[in-house]
Amino acid sequence: MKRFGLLAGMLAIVLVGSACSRTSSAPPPAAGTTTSAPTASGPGDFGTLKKVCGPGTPTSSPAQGVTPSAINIATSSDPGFVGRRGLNQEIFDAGEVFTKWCNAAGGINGRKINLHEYDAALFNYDAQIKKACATDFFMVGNGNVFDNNPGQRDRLRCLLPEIPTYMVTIEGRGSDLTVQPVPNQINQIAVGPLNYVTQHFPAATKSVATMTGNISATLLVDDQEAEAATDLGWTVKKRIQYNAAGETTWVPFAQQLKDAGIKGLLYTGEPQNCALLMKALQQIGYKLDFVIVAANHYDQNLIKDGGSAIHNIFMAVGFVPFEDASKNPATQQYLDEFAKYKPNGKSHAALGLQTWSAWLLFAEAADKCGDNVTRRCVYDQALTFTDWTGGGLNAPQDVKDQTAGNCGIILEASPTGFAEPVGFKANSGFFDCDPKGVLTLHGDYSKYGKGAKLSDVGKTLADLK
Amino acid sequence: MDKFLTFTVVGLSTSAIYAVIASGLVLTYTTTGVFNFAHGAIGMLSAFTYWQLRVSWGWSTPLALGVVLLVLAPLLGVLLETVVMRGLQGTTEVTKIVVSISLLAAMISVANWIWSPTIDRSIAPFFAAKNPIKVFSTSVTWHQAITMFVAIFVALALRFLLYRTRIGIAMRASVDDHSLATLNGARPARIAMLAWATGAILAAIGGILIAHGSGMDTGLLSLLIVNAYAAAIIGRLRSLPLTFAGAVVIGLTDAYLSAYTPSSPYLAGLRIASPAIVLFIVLLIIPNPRLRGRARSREYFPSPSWSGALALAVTIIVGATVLATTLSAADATIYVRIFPFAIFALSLVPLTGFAGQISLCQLSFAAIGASVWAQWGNHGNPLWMLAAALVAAIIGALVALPALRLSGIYLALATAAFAVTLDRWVWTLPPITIFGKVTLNLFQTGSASATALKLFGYSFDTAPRQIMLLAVTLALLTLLVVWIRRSAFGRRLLAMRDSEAACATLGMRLVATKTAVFAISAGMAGLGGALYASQLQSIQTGNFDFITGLPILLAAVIGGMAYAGTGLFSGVSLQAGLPLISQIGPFFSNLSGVLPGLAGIGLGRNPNGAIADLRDAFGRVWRDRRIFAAVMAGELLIWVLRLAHVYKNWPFVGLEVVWALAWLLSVAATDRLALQRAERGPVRHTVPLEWVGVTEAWDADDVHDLDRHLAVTEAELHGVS
Repeated sequence: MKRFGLLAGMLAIVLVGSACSRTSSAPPPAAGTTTSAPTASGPGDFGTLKKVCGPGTPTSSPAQGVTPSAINIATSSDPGFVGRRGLNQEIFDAGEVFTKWCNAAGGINGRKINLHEYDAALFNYDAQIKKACATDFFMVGNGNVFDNNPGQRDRLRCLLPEIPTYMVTIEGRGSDLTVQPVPNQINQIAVGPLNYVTQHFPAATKSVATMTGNISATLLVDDQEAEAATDLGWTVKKRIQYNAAGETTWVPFAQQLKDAGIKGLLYTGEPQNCALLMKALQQIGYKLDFVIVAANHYDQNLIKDGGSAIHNIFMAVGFVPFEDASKNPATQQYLDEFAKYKPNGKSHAALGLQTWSAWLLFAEAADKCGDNVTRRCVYDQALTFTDWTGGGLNAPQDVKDQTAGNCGIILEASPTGFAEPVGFKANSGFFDCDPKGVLTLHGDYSKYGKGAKLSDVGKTLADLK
Repeated sequence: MDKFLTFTVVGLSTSAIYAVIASGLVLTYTTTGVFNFAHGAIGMLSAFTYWQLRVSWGWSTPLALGVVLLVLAPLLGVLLETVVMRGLQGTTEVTKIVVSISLLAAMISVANWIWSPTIDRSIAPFFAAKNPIKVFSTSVTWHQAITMFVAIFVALALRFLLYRTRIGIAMRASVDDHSLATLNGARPARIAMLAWATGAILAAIGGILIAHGSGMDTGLLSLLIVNAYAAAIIGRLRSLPLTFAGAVVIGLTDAYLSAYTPSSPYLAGLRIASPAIVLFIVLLIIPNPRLRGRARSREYFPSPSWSGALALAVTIIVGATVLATTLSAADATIYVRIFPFAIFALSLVPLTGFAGQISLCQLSFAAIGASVWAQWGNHGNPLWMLAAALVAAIIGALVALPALRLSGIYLALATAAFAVTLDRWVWTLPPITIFGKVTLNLFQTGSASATALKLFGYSFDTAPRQIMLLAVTLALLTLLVVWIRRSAFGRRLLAMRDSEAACATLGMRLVATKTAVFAISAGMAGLGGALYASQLQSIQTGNFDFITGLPILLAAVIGGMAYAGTGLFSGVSLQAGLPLISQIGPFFSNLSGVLPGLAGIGLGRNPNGAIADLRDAFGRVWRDRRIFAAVMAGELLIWVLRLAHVYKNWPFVGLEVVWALAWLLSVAATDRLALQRAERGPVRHTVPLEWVGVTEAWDADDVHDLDRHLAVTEAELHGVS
């Protein structure tokens, strides 16, 4: 009913919150080679990864949901949410395509993936976790807007590990038994675009504003952005909140920015509102030197809505953009498998790419366990990857330490689309890797909550078998 | 000075839109007495239709505008008036409010159904390509200029309509004295239709003007007019010039706050909440005109009997036991929500059902309870549960004090303003330290974690345990409500609903009574909120916001506001009925969004609510012990077979539904048969009916004869008994 419409707006924002930090990629060395790998690939090969899936002769049933012929895997998302039907459908789509592709190649060491999709429709996360607890071996490529307690605690109680697409709430982001393929820590923030604008618009960093909607998920990111900016020596002159449920007009915000002589903006929100703000700025004839947004703005709607008002908007993405698919075999293969197995699926979505990366990580880890596919083995194996690129889909990530990677691509949005901005130099394949690309934050973010831990439910890691 | 001028221009262009919207609201309220919460939704539908014609189908702007503003919008207005609003005469304020809220809900759902929210839409401002006009040191865009021009035009046109045309004068006459105007030959139906058509056009203008700047979102566009409410109230819901002035106040407040508020996390939400705060203040300071003459209400709610109340309490607990024993762990976490929502709805019964005070902020009291529990109840200590209820009750009483002189729609708006202020500002505040000692971390800036209740070391941390805990609480609260209804205090509440003036004349202390009933109601909601929090374990402000609260009021009124069974009815229909329906398939899922709205709209026809009918059927079964035994035996058998795993939950639900329908229908059929027999039967008396029992012997069938003569239906008869 009515609440849905409103919530739909809010969700989008919540998602965003996650997105911001989610894609805030960037660390170490470079798997630059991955992207230019030769493309001669057999069934079960993906990008630079060989034999992700393939035949085998498993004999045992070492864990719940694992038989000699199949593995039950749970995934979850929110497409059934009434207010925005199809919300994050790409998570299910990518999971389905991966499953079909992998099973066609022979499965994971001969075990076919048996995919269970759980639709939390936003409000029923806990119930879906309970269902997964009852039948499944692992959760893979899942992402829910409200992935908080008691769902997280229930997941820990039944010792169900996950390799998620992304996590949103603090309780989810900081939870145990979670191996994020693109790690997203509460005390870290990617500052690639901040470094970029410091270099290119040094004067503008002395009069900066932050702006976000009035809900906790984005307020947290907004606080982090403000701290990061201050740490980098910027001057944050204004902190603005808008009504996450909607604003009649964005002109007052534009006037406010103009009035305070703001030259740079750190915006945390959804692309539709960003477009409205840009249009309002255009309307009053004021130009910002830069607007830094999160990777959720890698979205055609920003350009469709904003039109000619879109300019100098920068964001960091941790994956090779679809625009470069022809130059990157992994991205191209991802799109090809979609065309083959789910031609009507939501293929051009960043979350889909990240889902695929999660599935690859799971398959690689499970593969290493051979016949003895136990939760403990797959969990431990997944945590051995220090340079995870998802076969070349994303920037290298340190899955082992679960720390944000310092490689990324900076994209600039313009009325014609997304492109690397002038002066952006990739030093490792598509990506720019910079040890200063990730900033460790020291602020106290405990007021926003804390991650769900095994100790909360009276368990330890030793209980994971 | 530049700054001031610039923000004045910004504020005035927003004001212009509010003025147009608010004047439509005032027009329909004055002529028909319905405060149309769906006014913004009409604007939303118009904006989407305009998008469909202009952007999607590529019509030219004048054609698209003409079709929307001159054809579709007035048609919608006339349709609303004839189909929905006309049926509302003689109903209470609550029913009127709920019908228009239902309309809002239905319109949003329908729009989401037609225009999928996953697709992004936008419309361009008018004359976007033209350069802005320079005015002194600032500039005005063409769209802003057009907006202000339209507002002025609307003002002049309304003035002309109301003072220079015959129908307009008739409209004003009907506002001043409805009966006198009718006696003098004014045609109220035509006046009402014209008012609604004009109102719809004004809403459409507002919707189309606002949509380019706010974004195309069904909920957003429908609810933005909350801001226009304040303008309408400044116009005291009757004066159009004052309404325009009000719009200017709201628009400028917003603009100046955004210009001059210092940057502080504590003040960031102030601007967002400002229309609600202005609304609250205005309601308190301006003299409220007496509400339109109190028409005699068609609604009637009988006093509950103790046996009925006990039966209800037992039903709640047995039902909960069935749920706790049959549901899987996963489903239990979904359906446990029946009970907190039932408690929230029940908390409305003494306040709105008995005392006639409308509250749109019950969930805010629940949020207060939840926040208290989240903050201090982290050891599961039940005393904090009581403290949560107490804090909510105290705040409830505090809200009641300024609201004492308000009633009807004014009270509803004041409570709405309270709820919106909490949502938009208070709940988003960073932790507050008072006297350097107590730190209030209200919602931990949006989301707080809570612990399950522990009673003597027994933790209610699984869904089945929570179901039982909540069900027992609900049953006890239901009995409390029945006790209130039957007590002297309850009779005072009813008397107050009937006539405050009469109560005051007879020496009743209205202040104490009103404050007490507000406190009781808020306390119940607070307790429900704390229990809900202990069940959710992680609470978000979104769980308790104004919008989430509206369906509860809706369901409660559909059930029948003054029945103790309303709580259970609302909880079950909102948190079990609708989710079950939407699980059948995507079509039904969309349908379940529209259903509550449709049910609410149907209220105009049957303002007594659904429980009246259910109560009849139950009463019939209860009175005939053989039928009662058979019905209960059937229920028991279905449950036992489920416990024995003969079938799973879906067949179980199916059988329950079939069985319930079977006996409800058979009761209805028996009644109808008896009636027909009586109608068809031979003329059994030789004297007029009123002498039967005096001069001739009376028998049971004479009841039906009497019914027939008095044209009373069987259901009404037993409803009253």
